[in-house]
Amino acid sequence: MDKISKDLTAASSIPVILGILSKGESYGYEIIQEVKLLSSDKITWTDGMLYPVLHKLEKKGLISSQWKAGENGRRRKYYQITKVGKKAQEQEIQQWKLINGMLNKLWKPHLT
Amino acid sequence: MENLTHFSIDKELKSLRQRFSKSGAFTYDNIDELESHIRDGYELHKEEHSEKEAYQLSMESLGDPAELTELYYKSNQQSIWRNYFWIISLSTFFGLLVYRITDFMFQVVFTAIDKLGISVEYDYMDYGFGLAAGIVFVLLSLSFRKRASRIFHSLTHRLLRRPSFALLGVFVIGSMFNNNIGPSFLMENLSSEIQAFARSAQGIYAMFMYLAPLILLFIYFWKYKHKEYKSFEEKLSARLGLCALLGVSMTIFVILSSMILAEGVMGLVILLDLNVSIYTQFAIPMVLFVLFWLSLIFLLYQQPQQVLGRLSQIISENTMTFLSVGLSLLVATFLLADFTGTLFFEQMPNEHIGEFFYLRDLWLEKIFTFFLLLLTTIWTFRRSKNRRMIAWN
Repeated sequence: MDKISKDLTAASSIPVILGILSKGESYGYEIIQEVKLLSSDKITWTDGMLYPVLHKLEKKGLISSQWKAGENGRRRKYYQITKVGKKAQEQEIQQWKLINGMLNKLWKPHLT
Repeated sequence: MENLTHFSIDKELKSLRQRFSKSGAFTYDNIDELESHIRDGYELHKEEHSEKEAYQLSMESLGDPAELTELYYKSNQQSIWRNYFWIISLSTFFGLLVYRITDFMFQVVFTAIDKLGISVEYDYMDYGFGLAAGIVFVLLSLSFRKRASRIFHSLTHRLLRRPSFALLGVFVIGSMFNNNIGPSFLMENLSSEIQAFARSAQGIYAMFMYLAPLILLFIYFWKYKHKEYKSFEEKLSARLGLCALLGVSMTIFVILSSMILAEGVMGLVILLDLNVSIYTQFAIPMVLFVLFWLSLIFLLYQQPQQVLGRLSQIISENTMTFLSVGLSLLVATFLLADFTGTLFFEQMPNEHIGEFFYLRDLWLEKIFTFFLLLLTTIWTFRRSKNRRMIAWN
């Protein structure tokens, strides 16, 4: 399979970030590595583009951030999902389920 | 032949930070975060590549620099402008507060000296007091570096998240120390000679001009260049240091520019023997003053990145030039204000002098600060309505 298109990557960025952070706090580089791993390298985000999305989510109150020293003593900015973020994630899940269900029905002949 | 140029990731990142900073599109927090990201990529790639290659690969993964800058510019456009507005507003209040408190201390000390009947050379008292006040001021600023109590931490954190309340508090406290409300009763009991001297702002200028700005400037650049924030208190301390520094500059600027404008215009009216009321005379410098501030705000609002980015670039690249030129301008402005003031007071009828001071203090201090307070309050409410967090970055 080819790599996922830019538009679809952009559209899925928020639910993907919220999904990763709902498993526990993380920092930018780790989030990107996680996305590569989960998508088997089919989704590649340009690293620098991730941060404005994270900042946008932070401004909306869906995630919060904190500078912390990592294992090697180097400081990293860790992001955590907030209560508002968890609610937003639930909504995202419902919406994506709806889309997924709709597409499954439409493509049923092709999938079987 | 072997390439003898030694690669240093720290050197590369320092240069990169400067480039990011120059663009004016990134906040300091953004630059820290991107540096941390590049270091993560560098550490990973270093296992299979040379140091230089690892750095280049990590940089490439960030994406196209122009696109990245544009993206951050759009993302930060509002917050950068707002941050500067908060800093400028807080600074003005902070400066006025310092001015008022110092004035209060000044009068208390002179009352004590007068009552004790001690005779001291005015010049020595003047600069001695200025120096002592400067040391106290700097020590107070530095004391924020120490770990504060939980209550202090919580209060300041809340205040920083709600700048309008912080500004209101500073405004109220500042007003309490105002000559017209606070220490005026002390002045009534002093001899006229001491009163005249105590009312002069020489001690305060001595403090502002000789000690506090230099130390605070050093702290500010040291903090921001090395980015060594380890705790909330340290960050707060740097913020207060920055506010105090700008506050000192802004206070001197507000006071001196109002002096030059008001005394200059009114002195001209007297010299030319124009038959204009004192209120009309005062309206001219007031309009000029307000126009200047509105133009500045408009300019910053329209092109915050270009204007502020360029300004921060000039300051960071030419620190010493900026310092020397800034101080020279400050001294020149001070001397000019002194000259126009002397010219003005020599010509002005005595009965108008009190009225002039009343108008100048009322309009240029209280109404100007009230104007800033109103603007910041409106913006805070607008932001809370939009459910946006206050980003101090």
